[in-house]
Amino acid sequence: MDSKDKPTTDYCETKVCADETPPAPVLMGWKELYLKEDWWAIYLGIGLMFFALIAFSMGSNAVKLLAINPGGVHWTSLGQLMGHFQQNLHLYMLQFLFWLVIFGVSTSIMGIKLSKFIPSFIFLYILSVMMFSISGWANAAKYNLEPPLVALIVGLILANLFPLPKWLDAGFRVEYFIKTGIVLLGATFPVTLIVTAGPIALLQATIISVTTCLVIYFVATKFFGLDKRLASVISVGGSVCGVSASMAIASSVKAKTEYLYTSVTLVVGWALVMIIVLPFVSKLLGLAPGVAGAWIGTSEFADAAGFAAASAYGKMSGNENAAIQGFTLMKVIGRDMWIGIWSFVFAMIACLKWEKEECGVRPSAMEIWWRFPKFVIGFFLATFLMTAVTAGYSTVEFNSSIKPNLIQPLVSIRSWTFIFCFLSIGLTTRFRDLKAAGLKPFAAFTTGVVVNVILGFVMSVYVFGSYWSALGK
Amino acid sequence: MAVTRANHHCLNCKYFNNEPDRVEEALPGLSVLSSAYSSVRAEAGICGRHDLFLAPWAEQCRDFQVRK
Repeated sequence: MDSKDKPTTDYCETKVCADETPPAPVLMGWKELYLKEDWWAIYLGIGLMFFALIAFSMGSNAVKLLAINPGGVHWTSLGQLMGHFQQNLHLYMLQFLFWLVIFGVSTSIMGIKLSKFIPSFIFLYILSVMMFSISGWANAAKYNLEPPLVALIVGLILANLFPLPKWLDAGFRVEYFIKTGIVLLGATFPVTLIVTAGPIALLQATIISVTTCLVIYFVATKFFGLDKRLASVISVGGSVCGVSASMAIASSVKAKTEYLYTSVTLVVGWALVMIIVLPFVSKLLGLAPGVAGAWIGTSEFADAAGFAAASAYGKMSGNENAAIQGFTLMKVIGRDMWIGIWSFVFAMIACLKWEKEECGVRPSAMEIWWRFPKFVIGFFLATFLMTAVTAGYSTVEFNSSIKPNLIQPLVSIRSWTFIFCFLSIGLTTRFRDLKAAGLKPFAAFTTGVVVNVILGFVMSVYVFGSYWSALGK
Repeated sequence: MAVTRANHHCLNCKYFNNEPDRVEEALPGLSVLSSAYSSVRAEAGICGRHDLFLAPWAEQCRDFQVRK
């Protein structure tokens, strides 16, 4: 077809547009399977689970050796700790290479330069060994030296008081590490818990998310007169899943980039505050770890931050499993899965209400799938696969054989991905880089935070407390 | 191929950048608790012309210019 014959529309008014033929819109499609970290988290998590299963079935202790960390040493002198490293140096070298290869290759395929990732990951691994070593000190618990909190604070100090080059961020992949950890968590998560407590978590999370979202939105628009797109970005960021949800909504409603930037600042700021505050307030109130986990699951803004808080309180209370389970049910199952739906709803509102005259095409319901956090599939897959594999064992066999030789090593491997994540949160948080959010967005967001925290507490402790306090028993 | 509305997605526009490393660079702090490599971003990117954060399938801009 000649250019003169090309059909032009009132939509296409520029000369360049009319005369040139743009390529067909080709989205990532199947490439997503190797270009998105969600899929890689599934491959790694499920792959590690199968590796553990094969090793277990062959009677090999390979996974146990790979899962080594100094957190369980309970050392009382530095000499004792050094002795542990001297004795197991070859295992740590092997473990380091294992993590370097699987994370290095996968991030390289996603487009992150290996030349930057390798030195960054070496730094991260050494710091992680140090964090575990601190938690392995016999008096660590006495001084509240919980690894997630120590890792976060050390990371923050290094990132903000020392001139760490920005390129080091290549290896500090917070989201990738936590997603891999969540898939691994699935392998140790009882499927019965999902069936019995999942609907309650969904109900509680939905009530709180909708309430918080509406509060922030209406305070922002009606009280402070903020732009509705900014209001939608910060309201979903504060109620569903932090920066990830903000990113999804921002693109759904065609928000200004600065609105997303504002939400990033608000979410990161409050999430860091909550990582520190929620575990200590839970401790002060003597909450059961499952209850605190559920509360953190409704009140924290992002998976990584929430796992840090839940894990910290779990260690303080002596039942990390219960806190992690409560958090996972509330956050991963109750909130994360619905990002796509929220995006679609806001896209529809933006299209049909805010820009009636200029909206060309209605948003596609496929957006729900496009924005679905795919790593959640891996979590469920791991849960169901592990349940199916271990279903034939009696309780006695499970406790005497499966738990110490299969479940515990997987938990330990998961703890490595979590510590990489917690350190990375601190190491990537440079306060000088964050945009000033502005008083009105801050006030609107903070109102939502207050409502969220109070409502989350009431529902976790008083309304559904009996469900959450039973976790981990 | 005809120039139709169907082609006028941001994805094909020279002002649109959705490379994950560029998105993270443009939004400091984004990678602290999220990632441009995550599924939820769904290839959204930044319009350098209007400074908007847009889905690649967005299609209503009169400043559209073909990406070379």
